[in-house]
Amino acid sequence: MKQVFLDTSAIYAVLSSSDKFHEVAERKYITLVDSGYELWITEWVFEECVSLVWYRAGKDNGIKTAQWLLENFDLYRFDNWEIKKILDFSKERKENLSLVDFSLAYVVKKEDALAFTFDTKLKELLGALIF
Amino acid sequence: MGTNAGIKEKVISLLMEKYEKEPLKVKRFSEQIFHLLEQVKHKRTKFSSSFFTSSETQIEKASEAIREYVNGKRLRKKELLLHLARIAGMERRNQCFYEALDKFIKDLYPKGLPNKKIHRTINKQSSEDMVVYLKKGIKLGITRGGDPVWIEIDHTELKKREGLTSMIGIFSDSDPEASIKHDKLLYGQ
Repeated sequence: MKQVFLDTSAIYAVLSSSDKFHEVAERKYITLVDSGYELWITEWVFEECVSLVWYRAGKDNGIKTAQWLLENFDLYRFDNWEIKKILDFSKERKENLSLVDFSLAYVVKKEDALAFTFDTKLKELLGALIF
Repeated sequence: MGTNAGIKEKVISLLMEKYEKEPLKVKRFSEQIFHLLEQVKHKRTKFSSSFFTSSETQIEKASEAIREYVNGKRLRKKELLLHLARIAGMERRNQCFYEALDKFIKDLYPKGLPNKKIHRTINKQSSEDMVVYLKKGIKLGITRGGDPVWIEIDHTELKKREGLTSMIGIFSDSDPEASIKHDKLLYGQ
């Protein structure tokens, strides 16, 4: 079964009903759920996404989101050697992306997985590996 | 990735988004682009064991039959399942698809689903070539020629689906671009 890594933009667009990507995000997300993909998040996306919800939609929603992610998604944890590789990868690349985005690109390439994101720069970096 | 490759991927990405949102509009615009995008999608999804390919004509026919079934027309079980498999296999599920699937399950189990995994044989003469995920928790074994062989309904997986979809649209944000602006919102750039 193919792994799909969700990034913060995709998760937030699924959660926020007023987001301009909500409709597309919901449709794609349901397709992921119903077509048998393995849904993954990295520990850094988990932290970033929960922080964003906490900051934008309040602590209660932040906690609910954290519990939902932990109960329903596989969590990818980075070893120290992988963090070093991610830093090297970030150093080599010219794109203006955050460390979390580079880490996601790194793991998607490493696992030969797909990414679900609305981030244009991340999409460009990952090319065909986008769901 | 070189600049040209980057631009090419960006164009494909943008076209794929349009194709996934409004396939018929893209088809009306250009049949050639539509079929190329279908091929791109096939390449991206061919890894899935659930992949059951159908042509656009088969999809249209299946959608029409499913709509009629939802509106009360009777359909043979095998025929309905094949139509559902065509739509699910090409990841083109819509509201009507889900209504038809719910109706089918209700007809099959009028008193409600039992709390266990159910495996029902539909055709004893054949064995499945592939498995189509109708939705999380409901799988269909089917031959390459489109003959449904068995259906499996997994209560635990259906519960998991409820969990996975329970947070959709749970709150709203005053900024409709918060999803793509999250770096700026969190880190200031």
